[in-house]
Amino acid sequence: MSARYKAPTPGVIEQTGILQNVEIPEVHLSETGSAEVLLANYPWVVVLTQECDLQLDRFARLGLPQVDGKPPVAKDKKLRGILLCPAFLEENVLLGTYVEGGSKADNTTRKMMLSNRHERFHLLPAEVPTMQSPLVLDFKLITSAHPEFLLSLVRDHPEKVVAVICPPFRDRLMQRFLNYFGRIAEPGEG
Amino acid sequence: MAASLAKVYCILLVQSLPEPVVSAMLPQLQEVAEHELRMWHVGQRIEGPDIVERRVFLPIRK
Repeated sequence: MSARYKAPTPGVIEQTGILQNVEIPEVHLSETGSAEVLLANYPWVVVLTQECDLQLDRFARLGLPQVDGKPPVAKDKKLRGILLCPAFLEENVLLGTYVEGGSKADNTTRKMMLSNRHERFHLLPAEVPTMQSPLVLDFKLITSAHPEFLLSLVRDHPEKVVAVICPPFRDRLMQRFLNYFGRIAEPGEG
Repeated sequence: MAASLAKVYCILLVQSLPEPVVSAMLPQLQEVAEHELRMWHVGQRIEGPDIVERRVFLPIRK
């Protein structure tokens, strides 16, 4: 493993864990009165939920204390959803083919994206053997999955968890995401 | 055919520039050319969005 990425802990959901080829169910209520389940398959997703919340959720679900000898973690620490950000091959994002209706990045946009100065995107450089190709996160496309769904996924398919981003790269990603998510939009701005 | 024509245009363009300008621009031109070539190769094998969706309908008990 490299300095930027580390091996995942088996069977555990970790902050900035990178999962590949994940199908996330989204349930909508259709006009015909049936539940419409949209199964969206993402090539990669990165876990954005805070590590402390994930840990407490894990202990609360198992009914275990965080520290030996202490009471079990209260059930109110269980999460309702885990925040995920889809990631795509760098080339596909630059070409705009990664998403429906996307457009090719011009030279200025490309330079901003590749130097992590474009607020909507975050580049994860390739580092063989962990990351074969550079990936780009699109903060606008964040989604979520139920903790139990994601937990069973990482337990049943540990090969889907590619790596976990290490500090300070993890902190930089979170800082950039929060900067994008918490931006104050003025009228007329995207 | 298109590639050879583009090459001729590039040669004519470079020849029309003063030598100091050419040497100053070459690294940037090379970077742009490499990127465009890479994108062209990628474009040949990409067909659509990377998020693949499928829908399932479930009845709701009332």
